[in-house]
Amino acid sequence: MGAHTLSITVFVILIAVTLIITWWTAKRVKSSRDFYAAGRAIRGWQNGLAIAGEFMAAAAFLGISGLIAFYGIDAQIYSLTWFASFFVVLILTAEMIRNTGKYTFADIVSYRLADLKVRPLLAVCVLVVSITYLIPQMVAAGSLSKMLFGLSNVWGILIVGFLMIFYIAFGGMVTATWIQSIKAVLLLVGGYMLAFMTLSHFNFSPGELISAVKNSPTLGDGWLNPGGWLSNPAERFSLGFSCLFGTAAMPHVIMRFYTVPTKKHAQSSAMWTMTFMAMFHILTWIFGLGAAALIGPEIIAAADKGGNIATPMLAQFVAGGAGTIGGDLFMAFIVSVAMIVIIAAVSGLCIAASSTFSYDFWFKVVKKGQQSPESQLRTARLAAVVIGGISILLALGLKDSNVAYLSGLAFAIAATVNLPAILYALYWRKLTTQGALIGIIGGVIVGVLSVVLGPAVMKEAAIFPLKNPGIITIPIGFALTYIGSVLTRDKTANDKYTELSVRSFTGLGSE
Amino acid sequence: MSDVMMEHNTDAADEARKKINWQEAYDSPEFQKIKKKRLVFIIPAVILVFFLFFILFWVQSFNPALATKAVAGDANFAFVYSMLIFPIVWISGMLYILYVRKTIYPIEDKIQEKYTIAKEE
Repeated sequence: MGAHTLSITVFVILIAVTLIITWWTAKRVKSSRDFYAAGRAIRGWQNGLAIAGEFMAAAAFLGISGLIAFYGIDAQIYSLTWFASFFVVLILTAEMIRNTGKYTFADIVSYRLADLKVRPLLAVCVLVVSITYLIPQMVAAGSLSKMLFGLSNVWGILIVGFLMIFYIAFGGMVTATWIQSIKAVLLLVGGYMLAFMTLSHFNFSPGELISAVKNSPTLGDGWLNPGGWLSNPAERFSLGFSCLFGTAAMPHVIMRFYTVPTKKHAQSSAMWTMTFMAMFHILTWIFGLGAAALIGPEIIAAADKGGNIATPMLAQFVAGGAGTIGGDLFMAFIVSVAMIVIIAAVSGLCIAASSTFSYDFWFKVVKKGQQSPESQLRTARLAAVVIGGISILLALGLKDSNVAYLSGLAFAIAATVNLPAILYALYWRKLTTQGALIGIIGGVIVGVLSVVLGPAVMKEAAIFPLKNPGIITIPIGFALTYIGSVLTRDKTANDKYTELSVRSFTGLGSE
Repeated sequence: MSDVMMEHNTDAADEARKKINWQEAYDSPEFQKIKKKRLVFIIPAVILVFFLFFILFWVQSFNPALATKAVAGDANFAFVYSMLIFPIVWISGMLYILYVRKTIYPIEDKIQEKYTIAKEE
């Protein structure tokens, strides 16, 4: 049996499991609360697993180790900051989100403000962030399926896209939670097996792996010292702090905190997320340096210039090598897990995008809150299908272009717009509607400009010097909202702060 | 407060909120106390995490002699420091949870009891 057939077989088995889960969970979705927030019945540990799942995406599993294998230890910065960002979430936002909002990110920000002015803008912003974050992952799924299953990338995109629509339209947040948590378990199991087998080549000693890299004639100190990938200090600071503080503002992460019953569960979700993230991200350097030491960067680059194949190749090598049953089977397992990882990740983004459309935009703004519960649920399902469909079309259209800059764009907008918005809304009495509007519109403009005029799009001719613009754009976002707020007055926002403050800390009167 | 709070439907939640005297709850000594107690942890914790990473990035960028100094076998300072971030941040998170549950939740539960409008009203 060829390696591709084996990979496809393992993948089909895993997909069958997820479809059974969808069938079993979709029956529980009877109201919009079930659809958007999984009936607020998810336990803290499972929500933690699901949130960790959102952040142990393909970028973490394949991307980081590929970068480390090629350029050395620098890419570990993602592992460190994504993990630590949940400490920021834990202390600054986790309980507060659960206490004050209902279904979406906009609930919290617009609560004190003129809802009909702020909410549609936030909805557009969330929609743009989620879809621009979703598309590169779909495109990646296309090129992975080409490499891993021998299917054309059109098929890869269609399979991932239709599974995503299926899960979300039928099961909403309930299914998304289950898929996401199962994926996280698979990833942890696969990750620990891979790390164990990799270290078995080094007498189970991380120190020996490091010494092997240091003493290798082809690798050497360059792989262990900083500067191989992030040679510009400004990029290091910018990327690091954007990831550390920007995560708290990603709409699909915020939504996940509504799925638990109380603030206490929201708090334990964030702690469990940290635990699972630490368990996984403490390993990524082993995959990266292991692949570099055991296989070698040239051989990996010959198979895939992007480095995404490093982890699967390492899996094949440590389980016996190409052509052996163990090697092929373990590679097939790792590859299938990687595909499930992508499907789960895009599903999480799809529900964030469709909720903001059906709830924030349609129910709150267009229908002014007057829509029957049945009709709300129908709109939510329909939005998932339409947004999923649009994403598939966009991914198909962009399948042959390099779209990596889109995830940078999504992150830049989320951190520049959403982060100041949510922190000011929760912690600053003087926030005004005008200030928030200036912050949102200005933040989007600054975020888009920093990417469009930056090296990711304009290459050498870049006007804006940084690939990771956060260190400049996030302070601008905070400054715009601040200036806009101190120059205007908003009595309602000021008065309602009293209520929101009590609610956000104590949970009094929460949904 | 029980572990799983009773869920009420949306409109009821909106209505219930309108009846709560927020100003009185806000001005109560209990609320001012817990607000202070939370911020007393939150603000230093955010600064701590910021500097934990700031020092790492600084050493990696501007102090190559220290960053590449072997401290545990062949593992260099920057790497060992990076790996220590995991336990340090994780333990800080646990401390926050223990602190909040022990000293803040009991007071918050009292505030909830005092200001929640009984359902029959």
